[in-house]
Amino acid sequence: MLLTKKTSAAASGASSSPFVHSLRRGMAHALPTMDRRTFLRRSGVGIGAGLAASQLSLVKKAGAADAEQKAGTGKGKVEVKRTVCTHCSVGCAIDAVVENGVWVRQEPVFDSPINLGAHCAKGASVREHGHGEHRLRYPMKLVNGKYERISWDTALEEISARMLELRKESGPDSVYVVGSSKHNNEQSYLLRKFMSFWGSNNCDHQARICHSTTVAGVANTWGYGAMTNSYNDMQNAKAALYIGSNAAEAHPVSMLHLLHAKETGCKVMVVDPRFTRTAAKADKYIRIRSGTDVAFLFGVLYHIFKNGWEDKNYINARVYGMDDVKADVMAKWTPDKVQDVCGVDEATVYEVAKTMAENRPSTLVWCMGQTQHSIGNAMVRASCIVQLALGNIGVSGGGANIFRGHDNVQGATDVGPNPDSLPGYYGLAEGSWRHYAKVWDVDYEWIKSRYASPAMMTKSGITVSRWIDGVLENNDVIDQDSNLRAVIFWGHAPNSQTRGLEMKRAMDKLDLLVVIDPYPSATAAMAAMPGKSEDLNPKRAVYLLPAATQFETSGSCTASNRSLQWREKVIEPLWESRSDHMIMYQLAQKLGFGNELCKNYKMQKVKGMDEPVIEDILREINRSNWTIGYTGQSPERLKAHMRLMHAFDVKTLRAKGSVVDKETGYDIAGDYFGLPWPCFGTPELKHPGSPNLYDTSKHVMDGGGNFRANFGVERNGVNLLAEDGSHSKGADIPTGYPEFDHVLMKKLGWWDELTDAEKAAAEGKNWKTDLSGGIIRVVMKNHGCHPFGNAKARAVVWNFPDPIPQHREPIYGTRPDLVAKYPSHDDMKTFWRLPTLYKSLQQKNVDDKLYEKFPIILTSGRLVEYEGGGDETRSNPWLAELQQESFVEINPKAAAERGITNGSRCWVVTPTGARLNVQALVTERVAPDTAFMPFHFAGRWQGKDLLAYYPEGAAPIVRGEAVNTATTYGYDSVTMMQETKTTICNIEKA
Amino acid sequence: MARMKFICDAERCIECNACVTACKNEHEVPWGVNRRRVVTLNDGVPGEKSISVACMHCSDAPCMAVCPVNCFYHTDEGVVLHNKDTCIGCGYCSYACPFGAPQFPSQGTFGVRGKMDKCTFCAGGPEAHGSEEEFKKYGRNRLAEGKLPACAEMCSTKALLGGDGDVIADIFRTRVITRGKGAEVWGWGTAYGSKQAGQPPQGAQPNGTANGGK
Amino acid sequence: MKAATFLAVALVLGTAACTEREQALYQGKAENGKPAYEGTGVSAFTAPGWTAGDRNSWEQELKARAQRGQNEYPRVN
Repeated sequence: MLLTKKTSAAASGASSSPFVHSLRRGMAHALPTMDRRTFLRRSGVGIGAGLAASQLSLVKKAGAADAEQKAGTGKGKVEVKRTVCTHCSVGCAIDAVVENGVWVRQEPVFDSPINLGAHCAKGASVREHGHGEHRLRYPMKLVNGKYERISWDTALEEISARMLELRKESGPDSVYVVGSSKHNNEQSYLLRKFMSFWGSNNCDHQARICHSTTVAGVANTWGYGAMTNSYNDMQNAKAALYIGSNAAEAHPVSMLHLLHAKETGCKVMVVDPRFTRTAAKADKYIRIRSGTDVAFLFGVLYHIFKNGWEDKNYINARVYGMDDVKADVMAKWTPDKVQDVCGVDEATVYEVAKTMAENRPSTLVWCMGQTQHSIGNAMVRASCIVQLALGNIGVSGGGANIFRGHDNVQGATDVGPNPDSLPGYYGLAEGSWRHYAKVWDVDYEWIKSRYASPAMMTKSGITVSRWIDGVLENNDVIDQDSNLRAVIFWGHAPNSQTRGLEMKRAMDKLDLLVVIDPYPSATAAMAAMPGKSEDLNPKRAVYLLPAATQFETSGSCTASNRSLQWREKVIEPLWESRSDHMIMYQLAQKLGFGNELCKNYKMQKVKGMDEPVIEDILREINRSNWTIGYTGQSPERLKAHMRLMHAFDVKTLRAKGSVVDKETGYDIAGDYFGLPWPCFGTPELKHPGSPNLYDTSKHVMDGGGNFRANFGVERNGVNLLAEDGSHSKGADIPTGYPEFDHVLMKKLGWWDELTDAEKAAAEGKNWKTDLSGGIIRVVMKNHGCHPFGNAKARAVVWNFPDPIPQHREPIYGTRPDLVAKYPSHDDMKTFWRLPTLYKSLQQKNVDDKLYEKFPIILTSGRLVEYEGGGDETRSNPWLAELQQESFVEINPKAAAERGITNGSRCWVVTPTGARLNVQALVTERVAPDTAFMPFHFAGRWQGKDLLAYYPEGAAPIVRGEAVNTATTYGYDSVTMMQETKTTICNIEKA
Repeated sequence: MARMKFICDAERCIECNACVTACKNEHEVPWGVNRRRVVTLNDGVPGEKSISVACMHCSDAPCMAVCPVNCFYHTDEGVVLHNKDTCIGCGYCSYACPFGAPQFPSQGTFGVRGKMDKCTFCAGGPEAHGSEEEFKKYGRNRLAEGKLPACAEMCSTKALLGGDGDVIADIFRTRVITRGKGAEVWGWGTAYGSKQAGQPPQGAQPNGTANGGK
Repeated sequence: MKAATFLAVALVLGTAACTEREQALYQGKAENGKPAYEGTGVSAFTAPGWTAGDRNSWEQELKARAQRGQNEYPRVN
């Protein structure tokens, strides 16, 4: 019956379904379960009021919008710039439509083989960066508690003068630079160079607190510490195990590939303390106690060994030490012990093992859930070992698929500001420095003279996770001359690191604090808000410098699957912002090494000022980063790939055939999209990139490979090289072999295949320091061999605190009985220049009975609407409207015990003494003993709104408590990763 | 040409809100007006399902039926649009719509409502296609540009499909056949008495307690 | 009986003057009446591959676009 016939009485008496009412906008009637967004939106109506007033209706638009309207008609000069989203590491391409220099529209790029046009809420809203209403517009200085506008000249002058003063008083190591995973490859690389010429290794970036444990653990297992396969390749998986990854919220578009795989038969299992949105899509969800991944994974491995499911041939040929691991696992991880530690029963663990074993190739995915622990390095290695046992590494559809975080955290890790390496993971030994001195065309002795001493030049710096201790600790226990006296937050938020209360104290004690960012970030507010008066350094100077976003410059970025994509510049830098590489150059000039920094680059004019040409920086990377194959990805090849996206196959990422790029004449035939590193040799060698690492089924010039020979030839009489018969397809050497250097080349009789020019460069060198790339060319093209050798992966990493991964209880936990059985490591007196506590603190927590006062495990993680520290995304009204309140997820049972109702306010308290005022979201997502908070919020501090402490007009729209204001001490035993995934708290009704 | 339709594949929707922000972006929709929302059922427990909801461009549109000033109309492709100049903001369409599609900008003053705003299937309004007037009042007109709704084109997992009804039904059907399920959320079970209706997927129960057997 | 019928008829006819509106289904029409396939006339924002004014080319383009942008099966399987 049509609704429009009003004559019938029956129509008026018809009952409407309760379901209809419950879908009413605003959800006035609560459903039995309240979804996160609805519950929060109701509570945030007031926040939008100020905003709504300026955007009342679609009929009338006021003020600045009118100017944009003129630009949005399509009748002016319209250009389409292809760029890449600036948020996560999936690397979704975007076509930005620009009219008269204003970014007016954005279109999906269906052609992209990586995202096929798809986006998440963040990617679909990037155009807002072109509005940037809440951005930092001008340089500012903190004067009497308020931020005042100053000129760039004044800012650069004062900052550099202060830095030089500190250098004179306390040495170059007194300045800490927190670099960025949001810098593109060229900027990250330039920052490492900048720090080298400043004379300190005290630099770091977000990878430390994200996947540092992955990189260390995985690289030490088989050679490179990166995602082995790709999101696309997951379509070939027959089973997928997600452990510690909420991809549906952290890497939404990756779910396109996974869900397609699931539709075509892939079995999906999700292991997580929370029933996440990813778990909602799983065939099987397994809840574990936060921090017990080793127990779970080795419980799985126990069943694999017990049933003989391991791939014996693969292990014999390509893995070292599996027998030792097996002995350990069979003894220590019997089902009863597994259940005691992680809470998962035997039947479930068995089923996971069976599914992974019977549905090969199977892939294993992990993210922060595995990495952010004091034993993160052990957890990731346990994952690697499981995959090695199943023979899943180096296989399409298998792999250790590690989802990286920020858009260029992979690139920044590869070539950027790491405290323990030079770009390309070249270490800090003299050989590496000499290699770079040559590339940078500066005298090695001059670089050495910039450092406080030769010892400081080769010593790893302090990590970003511990900079506060670099300020606050006693000077005699820090392994450098002076404490840290200045910190520059260059594209990094403070609220993503732990121990916020102490961070505030550290910020107050500094002599110099500088923020270089498109947004003021929480640092601005934290620095300006009043703290303890005894902490405040009267000479402290705080500056904010407006940096341009990645849409206001061009450059390359590396996605999680190691593909490099080139971003075109969309718009000119807004307001007075400057690109990061321009700022680096200008600051370097003031500090006295501007010429050295940029001598190899041409300059271009941007807003009348010199800016290093980005392509030239990439070319310098191409000339130097042989170790990880960042040498083949020339600007021309990358740009051609971006223009010819449609010609790449979605499943294999390979070019479908011969297609010539009109602009450069370059033919993409044979290339993998984005030339995923390693893309060995010079661009002329035309290596296609490596889509799946360690894949022996392919020739090395086809993207194939094997495990790296990085750990020696033999250990305790056992061969560390690959066994006979195990090699990449078509290799001239059918056995294991070490990495190549001039000696081996001569021995094999391949030396004379080098040209004279190559010989001159390669004499006395190895494949990593041969600047001609000749060794690589001959080894790979002529002989099908891998320049880094052919060896076994290590299941036993003898240089790690636990050669075989062991479970150890977190520093702050709720199970004193298990602390007794699985205590943490011994304390370390000097670790990354600082004393670091493990066992003693853990034991003190038990002795103080903290588990009684704080009986709830507090874990934190991501929301799909926000990214990282969050000030950037919370300044985008389209995103901010969706998540308006910081909240804590608490189980109904725990909530009832505390008299907490859904939507009410509560206090989250932790052993640090911090108290966070947040909204309670009562949900069964978390178990009764666990609570979850998103970490993206900042701008409120223990119940107080910090709006007044931001620069005027540049505060994020949504502000909330930062979970890390209250998080606790705890660091990984290899990389100093912070233990954010498991600490303890209690929750009180407010 | 078949009618223009939306369908959201609940097996794929991960509540990422790309559809929501894509719409906001494309039409500069102000704070407080939600043309498209993601609705989640059974949030946080096995059986959790999300679907993206906006105007469904009904063939027999209740909003059109009840409007006292007849400001609604169908285009040839079945898209339901309305005329804001005629609209008096009475809100009756909002009561009538089972999907909550009609939105009213929040002006803060009690009882005052602006013109109704809703999803237009990215087909603009009665003003000239692609004109400044049309953009200011209704947003972009992607259909007249030869494109499809921004929300469907940007969906992270291609859960939300929008376009020619026959084409998207075909896409959806292929998926349902390949995986063997997925039509239940749309009432298939209720209509045809399937056992799967309303049941959580097999095996998606949480296992173990988190606190180690205590 | 006859009087009642006469009265009823009279009442109906009499009240017919207080006109009730047609309640058949209202099918609105756009003011400018132009269908979408006429295009916007703004080439910079228009997708390529079809001709403005040509209904068939527009329909074909939208069908092809739906497949291209929303169906990954042909590209993956």
